[in-house]
Amino acid sequence: MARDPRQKEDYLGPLRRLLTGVVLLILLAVFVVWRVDSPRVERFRAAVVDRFVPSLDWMMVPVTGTINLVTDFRSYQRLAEQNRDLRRELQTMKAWKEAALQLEQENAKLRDLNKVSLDPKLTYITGIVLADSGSPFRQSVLLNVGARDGIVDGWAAMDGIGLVGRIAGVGQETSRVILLSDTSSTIPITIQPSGQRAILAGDNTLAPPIEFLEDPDQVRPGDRVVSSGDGDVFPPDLLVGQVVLGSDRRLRVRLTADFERLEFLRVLRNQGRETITDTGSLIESSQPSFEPMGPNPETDETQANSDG
Amino acid sequence: MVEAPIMRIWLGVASYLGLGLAVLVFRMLPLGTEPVAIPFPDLLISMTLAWVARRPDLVPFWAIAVLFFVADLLLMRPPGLYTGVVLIATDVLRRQTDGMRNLPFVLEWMVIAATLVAITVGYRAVLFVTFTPMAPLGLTLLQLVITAVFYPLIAGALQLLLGLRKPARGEVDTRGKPL
Repeated sequence: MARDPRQKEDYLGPLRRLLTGVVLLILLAVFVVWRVDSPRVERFRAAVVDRFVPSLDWMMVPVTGTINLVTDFRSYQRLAEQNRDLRRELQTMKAWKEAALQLEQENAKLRDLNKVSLDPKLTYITGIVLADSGSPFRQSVLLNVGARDGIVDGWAAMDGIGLVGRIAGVGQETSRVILLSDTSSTIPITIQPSGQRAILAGDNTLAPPIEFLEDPDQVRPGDRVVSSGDGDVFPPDLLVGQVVLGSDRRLRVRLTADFERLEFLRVLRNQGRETITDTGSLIESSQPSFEPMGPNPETDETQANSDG
Repeated sequence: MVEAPIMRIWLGVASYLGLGLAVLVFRMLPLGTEPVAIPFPDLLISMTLAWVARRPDLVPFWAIAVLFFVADLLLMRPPGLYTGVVLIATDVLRRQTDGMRNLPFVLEWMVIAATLVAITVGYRAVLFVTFTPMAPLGLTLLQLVITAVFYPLIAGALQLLLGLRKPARGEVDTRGKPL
C-alpha cells in the first residue's frame, strides 16, 4: 500500500526522469565550459555576485553589526586588564614615535637633497568588505567597489599597513579580492636586507611559506618582506610581512595586515610601468613626426589587391 | 485543516529555499576573514539530506538544483559540478526513502553519512580527472567528519523548529492521499 502514490503518479515518471537528465546535462555542460573557457564563466559569476550580494546588504549589515557588538562586549569585560596593557604599549609606542619622527625628518632632508619624486600615479580607492568567501577552502573577500569605480583585475589591495591580496574578478559594483592566504595566490616578493627575490604561495594559513628562495642562509626570521615589481604583478615595495620560522622548519611570512577583521581595504591604482621594447627608438629626433607609425596602409592595400 | 495541500507543499518548498538562502548568507558574513583550522559543518548539505530523507515531497529536484547552483557561484566553487553530484546523490536517497521509513535514527544517520562520503568522493574524483585545482584533502576530510557528526543536531533542530519528521505509516495528507 505504501507504493500506492507512486503507482498513481507513474505517468509523470518518465517525464520527471527526462527533466532530471536534462538538468544534469546542463550542469555538466556548465562545468565543462568553465573548465575549458574559465574567464567567460568567471565573468558570469562576477555578474551574478554583483547582482546578488549588494541586494542582501539590508540583511547582512545588521547581523554582522550585532555579532560584532557581542564580540566587542565580550572584550569590554576584560577592559581594565586591556587598559593596563594598552598603557604599557603606549609607553613603548611613544619612544617609537619619537624615533619615527626623527627618521621622517631625516628622510625628507635626504629626499630633498636627492631630488627624489615619489610615484604620483600610486593613488588608491577605498572599499568596504561586503562578504567573505563563505567556504573554509577559499580565502577571499568581496568589496563594494567595482568596474564602475575603475577597478581593474590584478590591482593590489591593502589594509592600512600591509598587503592583503589582489583583485580577481570585477563586477559592475563589486570586486573580489583573493587574499594572500588563499591556495591560489602566488606573488613575487623581495626579502629586505638581503634583497633576495622569492615567491609567496598561500596555503590556507595565516603564515604562507616562501618558495623558490635562492639562498635560505641569507634570510633570518624577522626580516622584512615587501612585494617586488617582478612580472608587473604589483607595484614594488608594498609591505607584506616578516619572515618567521614555521613549526615545520620552513621559512614563512607572518602577514602584517590584520586578517582577523578586514573592514576597509584600499585598492592601489596601478597603471603599470612603461616598458622599453626596442632599442632603436631610444634616440629620437626632437621634432614631432606626423607619419603613420605602422606599415603604410596604402602599400598594404595594393599588396592585398595584387594577391587577390 | 482547510488549507489546500498544494499550498502546504509550496510552503514546505519555500521554507527549504528560504532557510538555504539564510545559511548561505550567514556563511558569507565577513566576520572572520582569517583561515580556520577546524571548519564549520556544511549546513547546506546536511540540511538538504535531512529534508530529502524525511519529506522528499517537499524538496523537489529543481529547488535543490537552484539552491546549490547559486551556492556554487557564490562560494567560488567550480560551477555546476557540486550541484550535479548532490542532485544524483539526493535522487538515489529519494528512492530509498520508502524503505527508510521504519529505520531507527541511528541507521538513518549511517545512510546520511554514507551519502556524504559518496558526494565528497564523487566530487573530488571528477575534479581529479579534469585536473582542476582542489582544496587540501585533510581539510575536506575534516569537514566531512564534522558534518556527519553534527547531523543529528541539525536534524533535531529542523524537527523542533519546522516539524520536519518522517510521516508515520498510514498518515494521510488533507486530501486523504497516503504520504
